[in-house]
Amino acid sequence: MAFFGLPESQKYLEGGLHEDEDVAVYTWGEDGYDGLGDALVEGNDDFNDDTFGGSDPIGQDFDFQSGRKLEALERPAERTQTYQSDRDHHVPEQRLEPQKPQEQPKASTIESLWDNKSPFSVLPKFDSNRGAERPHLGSQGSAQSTDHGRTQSHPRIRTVEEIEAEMRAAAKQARSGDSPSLPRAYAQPSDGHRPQPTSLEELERQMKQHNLNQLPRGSSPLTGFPTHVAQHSFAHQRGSDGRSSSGSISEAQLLQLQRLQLQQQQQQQQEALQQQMYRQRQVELAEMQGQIPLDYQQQQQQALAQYQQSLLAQLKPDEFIQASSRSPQLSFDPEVQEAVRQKASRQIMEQEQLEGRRRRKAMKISRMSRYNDLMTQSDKDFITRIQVSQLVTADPYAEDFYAQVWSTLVRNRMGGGDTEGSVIKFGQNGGVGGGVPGQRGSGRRQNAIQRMEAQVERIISNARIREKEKGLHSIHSLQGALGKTSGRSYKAAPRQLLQVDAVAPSSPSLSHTQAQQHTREGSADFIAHTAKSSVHATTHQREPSPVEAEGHSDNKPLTRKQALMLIEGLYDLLLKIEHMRREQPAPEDLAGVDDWKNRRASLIDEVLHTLQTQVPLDACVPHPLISILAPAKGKRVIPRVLRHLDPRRQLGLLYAIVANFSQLDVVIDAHYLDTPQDSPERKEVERQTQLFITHVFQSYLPLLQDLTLQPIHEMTILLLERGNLVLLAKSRPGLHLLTFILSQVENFKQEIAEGSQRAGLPTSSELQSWQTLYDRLFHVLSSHLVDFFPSTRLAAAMPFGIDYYLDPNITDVLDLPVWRFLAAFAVHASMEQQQILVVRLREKVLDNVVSASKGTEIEYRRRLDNVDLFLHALGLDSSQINI
Amino acid sequence: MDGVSQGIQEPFDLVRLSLNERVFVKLRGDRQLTGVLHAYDGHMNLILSDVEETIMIVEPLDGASDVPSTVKVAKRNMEMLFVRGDGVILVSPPSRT
Repeated sequence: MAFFGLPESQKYLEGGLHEDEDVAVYTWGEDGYDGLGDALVEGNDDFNDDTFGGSDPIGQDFDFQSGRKLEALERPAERTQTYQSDRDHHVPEQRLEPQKPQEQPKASTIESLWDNKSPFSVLPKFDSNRGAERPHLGSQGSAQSTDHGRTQSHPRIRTVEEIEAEMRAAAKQARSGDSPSLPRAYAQPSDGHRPQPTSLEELERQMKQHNLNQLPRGSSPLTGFPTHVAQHSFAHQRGSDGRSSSGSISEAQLLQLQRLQLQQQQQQQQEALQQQMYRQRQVELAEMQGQIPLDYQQQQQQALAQYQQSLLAQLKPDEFIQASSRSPQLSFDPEVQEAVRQKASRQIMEQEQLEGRRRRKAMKISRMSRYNDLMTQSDKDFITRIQVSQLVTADPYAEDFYAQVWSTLVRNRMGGGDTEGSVIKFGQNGGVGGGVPGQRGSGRRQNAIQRMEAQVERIISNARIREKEKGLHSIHSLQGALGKTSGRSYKAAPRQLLQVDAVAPSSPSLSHTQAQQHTREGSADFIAHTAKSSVHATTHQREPSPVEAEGHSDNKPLTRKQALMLIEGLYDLLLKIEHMRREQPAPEDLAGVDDWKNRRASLIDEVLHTLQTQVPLDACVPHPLISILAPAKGKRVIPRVLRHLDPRRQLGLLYAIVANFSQLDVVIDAHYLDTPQDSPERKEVERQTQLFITHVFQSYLPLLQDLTLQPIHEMTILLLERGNLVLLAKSRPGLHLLTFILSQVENFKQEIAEGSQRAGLPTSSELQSWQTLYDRLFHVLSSHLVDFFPSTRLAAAMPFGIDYYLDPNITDVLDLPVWRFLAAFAVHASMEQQQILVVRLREKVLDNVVSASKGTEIEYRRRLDNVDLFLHALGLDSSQINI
Repeated sequence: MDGVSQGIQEPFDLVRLSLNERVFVKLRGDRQLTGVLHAYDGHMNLILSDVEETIMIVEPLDGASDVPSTVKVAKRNMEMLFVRGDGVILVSPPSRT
């Protein structure tokens, strides 16, 4: 890339290369070669041969692929010999002795490096074969390895004893007819099978011992194989037994002999398989130490293919036996034979399927467990315990709230019926080592999990004890005076070690989590201060914080920041209260219950303080409570607060809101909704209005429905005297409120008219006084009735007053609350008032009726319904209107 | 206003105040976002909803450099967004009218 800018190469790139141009052409070795390269004189070439080792035989110096134990290098010569001798796998060991003296002089140069005299020999030897020696098996393994066509050979370094043992084994092998190669198994007749069983059994026994010693786990999928094989072959044998039960004695004997032979063959195959697996195990070990990138699965496949072959071989001799057993009988049933053949083929198919399934399963398991034993189970437990200790919390509901709640929700949605509110415990996922569903492994994992849980319990209890101690000593001990060091494990991600109490003004920067703790306390203190200073008389005893804060002055409205701070404090208090609910002591513990109740009551008082309900209503505009209600968070907090308040206090809060209703942001900003075009403010106001209605109104519904006339009366008075009713009515929340008031009174009137004697019904005097109120309302509102319609306001906002472009769907929906309000309004109206209403709304009504007929069916119905709402209240109907 | 500063320990507390509120975020690469802040963390990763992203694209005109390059503005709207803290320059309340 760097050359692209060069003018020469650019020309080259642009394709204009001609022979006559001045481009550097390099011509080493060609005719035009100017010989400068040869003229170059370089030194330091003397040891090239040693470094690159061209002349000497390679030897096994850097060959780590054998997977065998590299013994002390007392026999350097053997390495070269075995390398050569492995090429022919028949009797490698016997050639050892004669070859030894020949090879020795050649090997001197390289081997001398690894001699005991050289400095390299003191280096730790690579030991890939952790375990006992298995000389004869090793030789068998190596024989088989070359048998299976491995590209690299695996010479081993052996001691004299090993060599002797190998020679002994080789002799045995020679006696047993060199049987490890599987495909030849069935072809051999049974000669010499008398000595076979003993040697084979011996070998098997030894192998099993070795297996038990050295393969602690992980080979269960593999060792499952021989058992499968055994079961299958035995089942097969039993089948063959059953089939050939009928026959002459000679036949039986023949059968028996052949069966024995089969057995032995199967045993051989099992053993061979075991050997294979063992070898694969060793290969695994070697792999682990990062030596061979062998294709493990390929090997297994090969092994499995051979196993299948052997299975078929079993079947064929079975058939063969049966055929041979039947041939002396002249009267053999062709059908029976046919059936037998079919059965055999079916069995072959089945076995192949089983084979395939087993193979796939084994591949999957091997894939998953390929790295399983890179860490021992104890390593995985160790890590899991560290993770657990980080995750564990003494109080899951406090610290891990959302996860707990979410899990509860999910559980309720799905099953239910589990332990209610059960805390998510670590360990259900099995920790780190999850993966292979081996039986031995999972048992161990369960132990680990149990141990972890025990540790978790211990950690929790320790933390509790420590907390208690801290609580006891915090006041009079100097502990923590200079800050305390973190108690968490230092193995975790780096955290701030120093925590300094947040109340001190000159606090250094804190870590985030600790800051949260402190700011919670800090904001609670702040709340206390503002509440205290803004209220002249306070009944609450709270310990004074070290730093006296001014608090906010009474006359200035809350800034947004202050409001947000108060809201944060509110949420903290709410969390505390809700958390207390979980700590509710048992009803038997009277003292505890009392104490709990007191604490809860004081928290609730604090909540009300924070909501600035004690602040006199006219302290400032907007009232602090209203300022708190301005952000969305403030609106959302109301339902949560209401849950903890008793009805009397709820009502008090409602009064406070209603008293300053016109100061609400949703009322003041409602005019934004009157502009037809979209704007971010409009969206925001819309959002806030929606929030207000859903959170504040809805949460008050249950209370509102049970109200008697008295509180309604009070509210109406508040609205009349303090509220800007017209402004209020132009906002949706205001309309909702008014509608509610009017409809409630109407309900009362209806009930009285129906003659019910319910307890909360108003008396006639109350109704009278209400009626006067209503008159006042009417007086205020009647002149502006038309403006209450959003559609009217929208139309007014449109340029040139064209309301043609207003989407009737939207406007009708918007108008609906207004019509409802008007209906409720009209219900209480006297005759004259009704007249006035009709006069004022005449045009609007007519407009709607007329346009309704032009619209679609749905629009038509909707508009008429809207109008009818109002007209019915007057005792009229839309059908009475003639166009 | 001491009372307020009392409650605020570190700059993140100011961000904490704006949770669930609409915020204005300035990002690297000449981008701005406004959205409702739902979550944040120490890296300044943010989770915003109802987001409008504004990208300023400055296209230098070829040729003479004294011809000013055009500035185009591209906007996108997304319902939910996770912002990697790496690219956040500032978070502030939206400018109020």
